[in-house]
Amino acid sequence: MIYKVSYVVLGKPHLGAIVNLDTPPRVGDRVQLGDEVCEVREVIDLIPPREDFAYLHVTCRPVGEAT
Amino acid sequence: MSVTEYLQQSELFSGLTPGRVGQIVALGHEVVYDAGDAIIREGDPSDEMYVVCSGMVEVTVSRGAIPDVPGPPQLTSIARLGQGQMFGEMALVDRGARSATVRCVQDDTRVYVIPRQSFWDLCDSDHTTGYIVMRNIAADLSFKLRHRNLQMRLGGGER
Repeated sequence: MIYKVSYVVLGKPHLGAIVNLDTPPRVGDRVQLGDEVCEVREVIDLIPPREDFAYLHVTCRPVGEAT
Repeated sequence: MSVTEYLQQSELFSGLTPGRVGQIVALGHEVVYDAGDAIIREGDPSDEMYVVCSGMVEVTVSRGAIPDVPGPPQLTSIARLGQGQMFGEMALVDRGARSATVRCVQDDTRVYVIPRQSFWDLCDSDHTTGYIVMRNIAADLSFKLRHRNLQMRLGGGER
């Protein structure tokens, strides 16, 4: 399964991203979106899966810049 | 991982047999960009679409651009796209000018470039490939709209 993930960063309208992952994101994970590191706060199914793809929405919050 | 393996993880190719994926891969070529490099620019003519094999790009649109007023327009980021995501597909469908600027935001970002005309020719000659690819492009555009809606609702973006 390929997980197509829509990341939205709370309070940061221009930091969201769309990325394909091999494994589903989990609450508490840290993810690097460009030069920003964010912590996953919520993961939900955005739309039903189709073929090899699952479609997820992740809400996260920034925790700092990547080094 | 080979380019074909990367591309098979893109929704653009979902539902296609490996042979059909190979036909599309044979049309294009890979380009590597570093952070800050512009891949496409808003307003430019378009004849290619792109798939991110690895790394990340940022999509920006200009606001308040007035041709007779000096100074750069204000750029607004509308999305970042990582592995497996396509961009430039609107021009593939409608043949219009680029609606946004796309810049690389990570060094060593690998992007696969697919020429529009040869891609169209392949879709015209093989309607199964054409149908599947166009359905996938429609699904991807829908996903981007959903992402943008969520971004406005939760991220505090402008409405």
